[in-house]
Amino acid sequence: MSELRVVLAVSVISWGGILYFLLRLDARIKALERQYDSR
Amino acid sequence: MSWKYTLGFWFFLSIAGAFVYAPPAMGLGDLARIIFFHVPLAWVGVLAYLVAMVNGVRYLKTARPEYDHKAAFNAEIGLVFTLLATVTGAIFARHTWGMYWNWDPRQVSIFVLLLIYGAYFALRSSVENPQRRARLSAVYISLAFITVPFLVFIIPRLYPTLHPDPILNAERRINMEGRMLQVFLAFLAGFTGLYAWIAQLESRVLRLRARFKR
Repeated sequence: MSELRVVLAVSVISWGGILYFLLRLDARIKALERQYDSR
Repeated sequence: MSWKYTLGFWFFLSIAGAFVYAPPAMGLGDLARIIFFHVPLAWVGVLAYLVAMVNGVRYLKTARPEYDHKAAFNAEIGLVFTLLATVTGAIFARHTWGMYWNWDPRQVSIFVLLLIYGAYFALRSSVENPQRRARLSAVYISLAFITVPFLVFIIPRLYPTLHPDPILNAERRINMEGRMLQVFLAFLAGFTGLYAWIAQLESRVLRLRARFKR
């Protein structure tokens, strides 16, 4: 059971990292799109 | 942006469901939980290859470079997800069969699939002329997809394998406990959403690159 908790924690943290990376990337692309549109 | 936060939350719930809500499977115990990740990863791989093929055909019809780029990034996504499915499969194999790799028909077929799509990128990098590269790549990616149903669905079912029954087995029935099935479907939807997000990001980068070039 404790092993399962470790895997759960690792999965949650990994997904959190992936999500954070994707959201930041999305925001960065959006900023570039705005920059282009305001030209 | 809101659907992306929903997707993020959806995955957190699905992960919690995989380890807390779904019961261990009969015989395989907690190890069976890897199915929630392994099968959707393979599914997204096949989906991305299908979209790559569609874009390859579109390029051959229209000769518009954007379709070539779309085919390439979808093949990239497919390759990454297939690789992850292979790794999760090998982890499962290590704990049930005692070895990470034993050339089971399932493992051979996914290995061949990785080689076929790996060769696509070798082909792309070996042709310098952009139009020629795009045309050859489009033909290759369109033909490559013909092998996918054989390698993923047919060949592994023709030979004796250690691989557990596919989700949809030979009797066309899903033998999965109710809660496991719910979590599995949640992951399937989640991974499909994740693929859509990654593909959308790649598309937007492509559009930006084209705009800034002008």
